[in-house]
Amino acid sequence: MYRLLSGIFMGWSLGSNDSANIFGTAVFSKKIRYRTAVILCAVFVIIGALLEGQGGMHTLSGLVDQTANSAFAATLAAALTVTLMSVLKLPVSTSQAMVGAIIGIGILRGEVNFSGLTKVLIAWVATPLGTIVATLILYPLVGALLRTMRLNIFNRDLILKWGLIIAGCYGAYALGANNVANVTGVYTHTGQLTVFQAAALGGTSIALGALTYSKNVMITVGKKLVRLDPYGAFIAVFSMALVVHTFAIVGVPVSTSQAIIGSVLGIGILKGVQTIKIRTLLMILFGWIGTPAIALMFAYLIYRSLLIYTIH
Amino acid sequence: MLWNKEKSIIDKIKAYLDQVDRCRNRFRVSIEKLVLEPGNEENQAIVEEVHRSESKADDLRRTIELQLYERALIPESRGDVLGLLETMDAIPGMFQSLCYQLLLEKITFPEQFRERFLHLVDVNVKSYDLVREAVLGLFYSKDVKAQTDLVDAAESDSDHMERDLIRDIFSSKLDKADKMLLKDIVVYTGDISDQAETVKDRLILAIVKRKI
Repeated sequence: MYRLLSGIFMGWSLGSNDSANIFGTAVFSKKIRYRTAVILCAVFVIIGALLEGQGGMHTLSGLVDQTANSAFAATLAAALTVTLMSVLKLPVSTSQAMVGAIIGIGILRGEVNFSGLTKVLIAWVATPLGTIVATLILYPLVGALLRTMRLNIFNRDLILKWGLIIAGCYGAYALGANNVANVTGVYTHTGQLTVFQAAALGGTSIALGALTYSKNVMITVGKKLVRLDPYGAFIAVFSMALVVHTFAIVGVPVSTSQAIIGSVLGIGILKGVQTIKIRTLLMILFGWIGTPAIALMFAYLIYRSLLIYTIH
Repeated sequence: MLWNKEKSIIDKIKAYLDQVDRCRNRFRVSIEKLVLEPGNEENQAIVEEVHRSESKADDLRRTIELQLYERALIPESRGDVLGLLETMDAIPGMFQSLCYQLLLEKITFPEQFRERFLHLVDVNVKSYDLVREAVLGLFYSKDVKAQTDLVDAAESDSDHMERDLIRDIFSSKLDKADKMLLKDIVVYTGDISDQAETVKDRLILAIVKRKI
């Protein structure tokens, strides 16, 4: 059972890193308190994981046949990578970390399912593209709707505030549904957990990460990366939630970090203004490339050590 | 319940603007008395009325500010509304100051300038009326573009009248000290429409920021 600890660690690191993508803009534009945001995030992550978290588990566990030790090593490696990135205050993809780790183990064992990998790689490209498209459609559409409502300054504020909260909750739900597979998906393949147990444990550990260590990355996303007005923030989060949820239904774990960057780029295209601070964006892009590579290396080393000091 | 909270603030803003209106009405009556009957003993009392209505408007504005800080609006909008109210609040302050200036400095407008000066006052009061309607539009979802254009026009009219009046004052045979005093009064009166224009600028900025 100690092997499950790496899953809990992974969930915690995911929660601490990815909550920022959901509530970062809302918290730092002071539309919602940090405390309220992380509590809502935790609750909806668990609900999402329990209700729709099963899909991605099959995809991930299909990449490489997992043993109890390889599952432990992959999860621990991914968790270490994401935690490292959280310490560096970079929003990164836990999916990439997990896939990097699984491939690291696959290389060591000489068995990687490349057809499954293609599905994951396509999803990584499709995620930011999907949110760009969603933003390009939603921004003018919802804007036209709001204009017909002829809102005064107070009503407009109220609608946007609740819009951001609801979009955030939906985002948290989508995060739970989509990303729980990264946390405990491997254990279902090894038979250590049932799908429901994996969803419950994964969801809870993600929630724990959101509650305890999410502020650092939230500062990067909300303060240093994105300069959005409340309406832009609402559309960005809603588009992200929509796309991540869609991938959860399809059963492919994707990155909320990539999704939110796509949203912000979409708004940048529409408004023709600089909504992203380039320096911070470059740091994040570095994080994206580094994440699977570092996770792969960690997984390789951890799994190799396990094989040497076998605890079979 | 949430709607009630916002509605209560809108009602208070409306009450504040109504109070500024009362101040405006008293100002208009006082100015006429001060210009047409400079030595009248009743003038002190009517100027005090302008002062009282200005104070009440101030109190109402403070109540709104507290309520805004305590429980309403997101910070960005709060800043816009507070800025707008504070800029607006300078106008009743100017109504009051102008009355006191005429009263305390015992300024007597020569006959030939009285009518033109009162006309200048009317144009400046009109600029307040226009900007007041525009500000209210922000809280009652009205299109304020036409209103803000009229504020600009009133300010421009006031500028022309102000310059003509000053030129004629200095072309007259009045004592130099009197000319300076009258010029100050004319310039200060024109400042009302300048302030109305500042309010209008803030209003437009608040609207543009929210444009989707």
